[in-house]
Amino acid sequence: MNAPLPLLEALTALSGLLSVLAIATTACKVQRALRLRRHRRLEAAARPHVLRVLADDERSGSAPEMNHSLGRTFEELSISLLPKLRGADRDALVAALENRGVLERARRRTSRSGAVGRARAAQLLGDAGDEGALPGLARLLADRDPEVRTVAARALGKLGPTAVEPLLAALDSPRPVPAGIVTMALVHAGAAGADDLTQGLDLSRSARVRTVAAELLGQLGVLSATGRLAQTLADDPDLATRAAAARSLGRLGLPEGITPLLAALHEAQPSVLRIDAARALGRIGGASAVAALRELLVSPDIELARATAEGLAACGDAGVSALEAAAEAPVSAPSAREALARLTLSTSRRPAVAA
Amino acid sequence: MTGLIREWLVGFDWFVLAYFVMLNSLYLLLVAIASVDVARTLRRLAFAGHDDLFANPFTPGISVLVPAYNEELVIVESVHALLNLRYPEFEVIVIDDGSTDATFDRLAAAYDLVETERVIPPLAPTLGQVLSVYAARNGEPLLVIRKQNAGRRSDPLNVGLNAARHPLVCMVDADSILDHDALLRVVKPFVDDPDRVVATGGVIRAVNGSVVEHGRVVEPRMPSGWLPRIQVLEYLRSFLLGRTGWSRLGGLLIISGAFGLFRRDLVLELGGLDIDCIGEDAELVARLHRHLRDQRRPYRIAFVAEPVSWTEVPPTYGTLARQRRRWSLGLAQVLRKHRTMIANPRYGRIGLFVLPYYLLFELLGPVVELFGVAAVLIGFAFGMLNVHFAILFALFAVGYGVFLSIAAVTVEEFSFHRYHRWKDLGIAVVAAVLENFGYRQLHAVWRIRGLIDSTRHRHVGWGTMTRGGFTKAIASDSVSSR
Amino acid sequence: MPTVLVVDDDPDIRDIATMKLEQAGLEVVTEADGEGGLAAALELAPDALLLDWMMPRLTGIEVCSRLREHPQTARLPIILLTAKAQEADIERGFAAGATDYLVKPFSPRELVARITAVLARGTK
Repeated sequence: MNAPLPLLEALTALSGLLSVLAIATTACKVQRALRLRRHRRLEAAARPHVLRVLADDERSGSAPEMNHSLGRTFEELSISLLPKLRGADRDALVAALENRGVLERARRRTSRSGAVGRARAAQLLGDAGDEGALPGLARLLADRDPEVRTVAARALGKLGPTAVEPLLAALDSPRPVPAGIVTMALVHAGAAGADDLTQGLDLSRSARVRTVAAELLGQLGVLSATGRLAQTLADDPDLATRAAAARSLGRLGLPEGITPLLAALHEAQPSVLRIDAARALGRIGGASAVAALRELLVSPDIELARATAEGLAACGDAGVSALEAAAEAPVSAPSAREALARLTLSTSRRPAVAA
Repeated sequence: MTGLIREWLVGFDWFVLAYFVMLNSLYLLLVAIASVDVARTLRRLAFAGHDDLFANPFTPGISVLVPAYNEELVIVESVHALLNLRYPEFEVIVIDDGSTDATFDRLAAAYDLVETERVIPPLAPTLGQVLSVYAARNGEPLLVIRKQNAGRRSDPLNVGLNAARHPLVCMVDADSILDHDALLRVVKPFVDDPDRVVATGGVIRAVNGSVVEHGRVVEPRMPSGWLPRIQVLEYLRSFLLGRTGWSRLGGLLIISGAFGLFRRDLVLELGGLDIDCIGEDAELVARLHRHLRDQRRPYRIAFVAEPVSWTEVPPTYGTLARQRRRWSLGLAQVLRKHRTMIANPRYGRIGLFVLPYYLLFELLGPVVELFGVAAVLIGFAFGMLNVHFAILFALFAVGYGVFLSIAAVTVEEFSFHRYHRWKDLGIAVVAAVLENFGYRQLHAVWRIRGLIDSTRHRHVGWGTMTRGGFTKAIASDSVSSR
Repeated sequence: MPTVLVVDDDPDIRDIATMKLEQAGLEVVTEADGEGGLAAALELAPDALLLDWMMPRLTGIEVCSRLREHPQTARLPIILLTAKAQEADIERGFAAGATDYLVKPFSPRELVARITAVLARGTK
């Protein structure tokens, strides 16, 4: 190379960049150390105020005078405690935050620009169990940002049964929320949401809604839905819904579920459904369940055989003797022995009942 | 004659310079993208909902697979840490790959293991036979499988894959320590985007020198030797910037075997891990890309920047050299096996950008670098040394390298700031400079040897890595690497 | 005055539990991890133990099992207070010897009620 290249410039640029980085890094570290010290000091000062709110247990929340930064720290500390508590004590914190206007600001922020702000507001409102925020949060279910939709769904789930309908509706909206997120959110809805969920099994609703509803009715222990779920297992055209119904019937454990589950075990049924039905039958138990399951231990479908063995292990003595018999036969032996081994382990762990 | 050599040298000079400008500019782009991404991740942590994931019965279960060969010094501590990870539903499956030391005995004593039955369907092909299966009597979700050794790491992983009961599998090295809520963080993409996400990966960092208590990294610290210190920097640079940057661009070729979360059904669909490939983890990811693109299934492989798997890095030149040589061999094998994907628009960004990048820069990079050095030496020998070129080469190759390492330190300080002591920051900066004077060149030599190995189809064996446990520095010099 | 030992690595939980239990007329000692908790339980012989599960060093389950092996703490009322809420976790908690199992998020009022009830039964 004969043309003189800008050597000096390159060198200067490099050193310049390196210095910038070094300064930035050092400044960042120093600032963080200072901020941490300040935060610790403020937190130590704010903590007694927070504890006082919890001690008083009143909703009036007589707020002592706090300067701006102390007040902010008090609010942050209270907010961090919200997800750890429930009941009257959490309500006391919520009241204190409401009195300071924190919740109102959050409610308004749900309609402002800035996805991060909207999501943080949604998170707070959910943790506070703020039912007044329901319309705002329901609107966020259709937000442009998928993460905001997810946070809103989670928050709505914490608001109780009134959130069931908007959450189910979000499954099919043009900006949908994944079914798993809705299911997880509705776990907190409680049995009070039973009616809306049962309505969700209606064939007029979409398959996604029916699946989520079927799954939750069992998880939430809505015994009265057993009949309806039995019908869904038998008639619903969607496989995922039927599988969810099978699982739920097992969780609910009522004998009404046995007949449709036995039908779902049939050879012609898809394998995934038969597996769920086998496990569910095991959870319900009973002579007809044991009889049907025993036949399936020799199934060439390994997963089905294992699920069957698992089911039998939960059926008490009758199931155990069926497994022991099957443990001798070559085809069914592996699954049977696996289930028996697990059963032995779990019973050996249980604390002995005092004589 | 000298005219010819001069011309050749000049041409080559330009080529090498252009190569390094391209490479380092690419790195710079990745740095920029990664920084933005990291900032974005941090801002959104406040509502990531990890606590909700922990409390929810519908969070997908994870089977943690731990292949173990002669890990008696660390296995109990490691398993203890795994069993106490913050996650609602998971099992730990340790596959004792025919250990000849006290690995199994120590586990048996610590967990009161009792022999049990477990159906292990023959889904992924395996070589070594399963001898016996054990469960913990005290109720911990631990399964220990003893099998015959088959000489490669993919075999115990495939056995574990077959035995796993949960829909997601995480493959973890026996000497790695995962952050306490690493599983929660690494599962999040699966929960948020269940239809598309097929695999996620987390960060790997060097644990040497850090304070480890009961299987938890209590305080990350820089290690005491310069060799491990330089490696800390390498990992920081590579994972924090390379992976994150690539992930944003849809690349993410390598999820290191030390820390990746996969959908079990898909891995089995692919036939499990490749028994013949040394870089079996990278190969799996490449195969995943290929398979899903061939089938035109929309998918996403995500990188999660915060959860860390802490791993012990080789403290001596011998073990390190063997490890890097093996990595290079592994990369070459993966690229050769999937060569039809390279520059193939059918494979989208993976085929057009990621694989060519790995071929031209990661694999062949050391060759160009050493030729660059050679060009300088030749020029010097013939008295034709182009001083300008030499210095510019030094600037771009070395200076840029220092800049990138320091940029990684800066991003780390601004984002996760896991290292608290000022001393560690100082060490990192010095290591960033030192790395480029000697280590880099040595590293290039090791990588070239790995590349040469691949042309000879030589199979570098596994061997053992001598350990000193987590908290002690290792001083021994023996045998080949893991 | 009966003594309650509170073992939790979360300082917020320790503070809230301490305040509420002291309000109820109990004496409270706290520890921040499993090892300290185990030692304190054996040394101080408290009347009840509130125990977190997920703690560094020694987990709550391990502390519980070990305490059940010592004759002087074999009958100590141990209340597990934890975020681990799955069925299998509850089973394991009781299998390890817990007297009661509370899931986080928890109600401090409920906690006080349960502890005072357990203490009252103990003194009869």
